[in-house]
Amino acid sequence: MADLLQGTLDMLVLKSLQLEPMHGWGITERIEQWSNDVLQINQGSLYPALHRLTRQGFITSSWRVTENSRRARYYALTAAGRRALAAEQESWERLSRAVDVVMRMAPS
Amino acid sequence: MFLIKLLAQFRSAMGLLAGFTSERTHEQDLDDELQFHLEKAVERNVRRGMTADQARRAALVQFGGRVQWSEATRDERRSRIVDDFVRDVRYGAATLRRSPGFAASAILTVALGIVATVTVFSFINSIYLRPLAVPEGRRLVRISGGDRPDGEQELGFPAFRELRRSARSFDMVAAHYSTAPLYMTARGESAEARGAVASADYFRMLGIRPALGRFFSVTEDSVPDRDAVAVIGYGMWQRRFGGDTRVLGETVTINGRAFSIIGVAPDGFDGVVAGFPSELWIPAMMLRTGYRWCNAFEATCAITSIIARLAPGATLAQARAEISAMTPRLAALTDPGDSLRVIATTPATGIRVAEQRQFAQLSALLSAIALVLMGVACANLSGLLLARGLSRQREIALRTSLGAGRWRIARQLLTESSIIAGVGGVIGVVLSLWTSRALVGFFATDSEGYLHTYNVSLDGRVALFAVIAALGAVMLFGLFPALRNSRVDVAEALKVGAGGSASRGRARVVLIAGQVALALSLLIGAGLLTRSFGALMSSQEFDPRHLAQLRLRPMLMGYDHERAVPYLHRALESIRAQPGVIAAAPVRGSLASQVTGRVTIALPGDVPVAKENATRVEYFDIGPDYFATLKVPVLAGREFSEHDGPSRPLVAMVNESLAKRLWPHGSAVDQTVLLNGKAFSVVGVVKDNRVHTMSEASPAMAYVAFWQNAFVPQVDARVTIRVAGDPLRALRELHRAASVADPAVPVTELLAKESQMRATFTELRLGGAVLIVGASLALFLSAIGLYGVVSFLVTQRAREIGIRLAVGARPANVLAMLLRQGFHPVWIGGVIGVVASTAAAPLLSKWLFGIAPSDRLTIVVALGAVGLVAMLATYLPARRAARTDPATVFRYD
Repeated sequence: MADLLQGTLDMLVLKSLQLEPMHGWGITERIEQWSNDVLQINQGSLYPALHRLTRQGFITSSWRVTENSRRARYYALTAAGRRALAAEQESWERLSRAVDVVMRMAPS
Repeated sequence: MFLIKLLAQFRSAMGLLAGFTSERTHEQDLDDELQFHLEKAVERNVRRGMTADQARRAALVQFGGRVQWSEATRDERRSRIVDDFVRDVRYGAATLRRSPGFAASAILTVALGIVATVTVFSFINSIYLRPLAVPEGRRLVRISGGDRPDGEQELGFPAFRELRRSARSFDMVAAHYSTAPLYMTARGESAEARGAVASADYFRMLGIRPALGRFFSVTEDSVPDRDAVAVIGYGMWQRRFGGDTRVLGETVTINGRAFSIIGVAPDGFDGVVAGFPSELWIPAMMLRTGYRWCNAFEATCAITSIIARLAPGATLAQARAEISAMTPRLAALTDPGDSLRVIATTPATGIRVAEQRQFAQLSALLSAIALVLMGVACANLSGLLLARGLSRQREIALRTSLGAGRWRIARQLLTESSIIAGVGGVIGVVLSLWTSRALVGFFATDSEGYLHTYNVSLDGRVALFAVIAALGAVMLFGLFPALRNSRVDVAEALKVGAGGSASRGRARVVLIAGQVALALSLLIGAGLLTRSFGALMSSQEFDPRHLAQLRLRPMLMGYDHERAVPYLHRALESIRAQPGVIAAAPVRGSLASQVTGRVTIALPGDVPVAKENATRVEYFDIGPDYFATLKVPVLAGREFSEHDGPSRPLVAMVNESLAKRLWPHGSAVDQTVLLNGKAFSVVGVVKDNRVHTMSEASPAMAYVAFWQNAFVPQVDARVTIRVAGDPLRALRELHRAASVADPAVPVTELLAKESQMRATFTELRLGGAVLIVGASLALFLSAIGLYGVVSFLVTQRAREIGIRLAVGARPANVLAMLLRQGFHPVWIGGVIGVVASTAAAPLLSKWLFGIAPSDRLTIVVALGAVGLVAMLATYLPARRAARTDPATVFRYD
């Protein structure tokens, strides 16, 4: 997979947590699943991103027991996270539309 | 957006604060989280149809490599440089707590190395480096004649006066005689005090204040023999006066003269000669009370030492330059016989320079032993850490795969080593307070029964040394394992059931060989000293077991020869009349040294030669029945009797060596010999003996009769006494019996001969004891290390051994194979050890009597002992392996 744009991974993580709290592995699977395996999340980027977001106060984490009785750290959106996600979503849509328009231009 | 970011930054700052407090949980959480992720990835790979092994490998490949993500994650948390260290320490401490057995043995091993090095340094510090415990003690210097190979030559009183008058580099200059025999009677009780004669500036120069009363005034130190005032030490004040403040103005008798006590020295002050504590001071003008052998105010009777304080702003170099310029003037004031050319100005640190030189070889030996112990401890610990690296390979591999760089891991491992060294260091320093006191305790009583105290309390230098020693230890034992263990082949390490690498095993073999070599060389040294001591003791030509000795000192009370002779006869009769006393004989000179002095020797027919070129021989003044008392055989003729008095013709005895030298072909008895030009008739030949010294060969000796006063009129006498029972128990009664003759005369230096000999052999005994303890510890550590290596070998090759056993190898074959391999480092170490001990033998030369440094028997016995211990350490784990049930070995897979 090509490198994601700077900041895009953070947005994807926030997005994946929109419905429910999840652990790191779950986030990877969720994004891969939603993107039909196009977006493969590299652990080397994911965990730093999770910590970055935690530090920024957009997500919080807590240890819980999984359905298979394993201990795992679950991440959840905070109110600030939701606001940030909304803002990111809006700016992304604007950006992707713009990129889309540019890319559709036929060279004359 | 702006507001949100601001808010976020605020939270981040809070998180940073919180982060400090919950670091350890973060670290563990992170590991757990990553482990969870890894396992999930493996599960998915398995679901996709891979085997367990493939799945794990694939997951790891995905994990590892270019993304240093674990570290990157941490970087997101906060700046690393500050808290990497804190985290390493916490992580290290936690790791060590998880394996308390390892931690305890590692810490104890380091503590051993530290305790050895710090103890010896403490000793060396006390002997050579420690300034006097007075304000600004570093600025005190000693001034003495400095071109004597055998030590210092004191300058004498006239030179001191000149120095005090004209030297500008010094604030104050004081003269003192700190080994003055002062015999004090106070409150009805008489005892010898450790006295000092000190000029008026002495106390002012030291900058100390009296605990009570005052010190000497300048007027009290201006007219000879006028002002009989005394200052007592704090300990004596407590002990003999019960801390009574009415002691000021009290009259006591010192060496037969009435003195008035004017002050008490502060607690903890015991004079200016380290090792010779003082407890009673009289002014320099009272020198003739403290010393009666010659007039100490004259240059020819140079007994006072000079100590001075550098003037404010003056440096040692300036003082040296000034003294050097003054040297001709000062030398003119000293005894022409001393022909003094160089005057030395040295910092007043440690003990006296002459004694410092005597301690040089012992200090070198002790340092070598301490370094060897430190080396063994570090090699042992290195091996331990290498082995531990093996069991931690998975942990390290995981961290590596999670992106930690090799240097990062090495630093973590080094931090763990530093914690071990830190804790071990503290324990070592605390233990050294006790061991260094035990070490100097060997010197507590000298061969004349006098007390010596050496200050080995913890000071800045010792503390600094301990820190350096601990850091050095970390470098020695921690660096190599850290570098080695941080290099991990991730894929190999994470495989289930992986063994260790061969190179790590080789490193441990080298370490074991080193330990064996060091332990062996200590053991050989211990053996040599033990054999030397045994040879000395068994080859004595006399029987020391029931011998006691004491010293009668009428000269201190101002007796002359005419008064002393009847006194000495009375005292000897009283001693001989004591029940249990078999014989008693007076001698002149120290019973702790071989001789009274040297005299020229010639035969009547010899061509006269100038006195400087005359042959000299050592001689001893001995009383009647001296050799019978000692049980030294007289080989020909007779020994001195009561008839050999002052009015009879002069008689002499010679020992075998001298008899053979002078009359190689005939009998010595009835020959005439000239000693210092006087004719003596030889009445007997005595067997060579080493009653008073430890030396291999007995020198040629002449003996003259005590009561004939051949060279000087007798006043003082030492008495050697044979008793029926235990001489130690007899001492008190002997003291009483001797005092009956004249209660005023001091009776001192009461000793059993064996105690005195033990004191004479202190260095030999100390060296031997330290070597034995050191060798045992080193051997023990080597054995543990060897045990570990063979155990490791066994585990590593469990499968191979299983296969061998399964295909029919006999357990005995397997055992033999393992023993062979386990003994590999022992052979190497043994050879190196023998070579090393031969190379280090000069360190022991001073104490080897009648035994060569390459003594075969000692080396063979030491090798045997090492071999036996090594055999045991190898056999135990090897036997376990040979008993392996092949079935269990394969169950892992």
